[in-house]
Amino acid sequence: MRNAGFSIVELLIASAVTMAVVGAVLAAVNPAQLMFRAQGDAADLHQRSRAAADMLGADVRAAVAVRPYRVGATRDDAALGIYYRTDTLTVLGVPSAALSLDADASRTYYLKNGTAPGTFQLMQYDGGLSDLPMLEHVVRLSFDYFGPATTDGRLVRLEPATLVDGPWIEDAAHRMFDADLVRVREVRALLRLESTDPWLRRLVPDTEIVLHMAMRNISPVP
Amino acid sequence: MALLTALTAVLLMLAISGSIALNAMTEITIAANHRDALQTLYGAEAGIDLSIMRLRRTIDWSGVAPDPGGTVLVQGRLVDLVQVAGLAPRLNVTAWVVPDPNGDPDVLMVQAVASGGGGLHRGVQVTIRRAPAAPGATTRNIETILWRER
Repeated sequence: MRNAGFSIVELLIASAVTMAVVGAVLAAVNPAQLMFRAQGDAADLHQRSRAAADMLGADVRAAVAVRPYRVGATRDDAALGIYYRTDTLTVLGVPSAALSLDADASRTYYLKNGTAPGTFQLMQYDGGLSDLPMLEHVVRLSFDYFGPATTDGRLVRLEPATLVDGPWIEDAAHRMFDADLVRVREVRALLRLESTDPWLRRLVPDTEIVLHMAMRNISPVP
Repeated sequence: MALLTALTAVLLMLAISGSIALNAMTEITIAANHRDALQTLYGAEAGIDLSIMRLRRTIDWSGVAPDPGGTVLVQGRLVDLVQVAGLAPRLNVTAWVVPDPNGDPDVLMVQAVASGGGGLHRGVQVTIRRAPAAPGATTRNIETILWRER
């Protein structure tokens, strides 16, 4: 009687079947693992959107005035003759920090090239010496300004050309600015954020948020 | 062998789907907290607006804020105060008015605090001034001098 055992052919066939089964299982698990990573990345994207909305919203609500360019002690745009940038917003007359009682600080938000090529950081400039990165992987940022129409008082978008054509007036800090900026009652910000991981971008699409922020400190109560 | 492989695969998928579900639930909670915080802020602003509406109907402001520490003008559930359906039922608002520290009878400081679910509190403080009465006008315009979140 022949001893029980497997021939080499049987072992090879068994190994091939096992490998096929394990391969099929791994093929099923791998997308699930990718989905797991994408879930965390999507949550991060949403959190960055919320942070942007909170930060910009609180500052525009509290602002006494806005400028569509950088204002401050270093690299002041007006000193270079620049009075409009699509991706730059300065809020004036805001508290220097959350819950502080003063209201004479300014903050500028703008885009700067990020660490990854083709991406940007949302930066915050405090009007003095500090430029700090606030959000990573911002693909796009633009600001639009709205003020009452001269005819019926409805809020209309103020064209960029009207914000740089004068007449010019001087503020308390002896800086000249376009008189049409006094009409600004609402700022609209458009932000586009992308996933931090390039491999996950087909699973986590870019998020675009539009914020309509009304300035409370200059709106008269009707 | 096949059974072992199938069991391992099922367990792995279960672990991954469990983690995804946990992540999703955490994200939903964070988003709900953010929404509640915004609702609470707007609730406080509604308290300010309700107060200003009442002040607009008040001809003499000298008796509006007898207490230098603050006199309550509006208090209650926001849904009851504004009688609008669809508002968060747990949103409570208190607004009070404080006289001008400099004694200007046409200037008042209105503060409102809204509290929502989960212990959220947001406050808004507004200083308002009444414009001089125009000849023949029955009401006087009110303008915001200062608006602050607290």
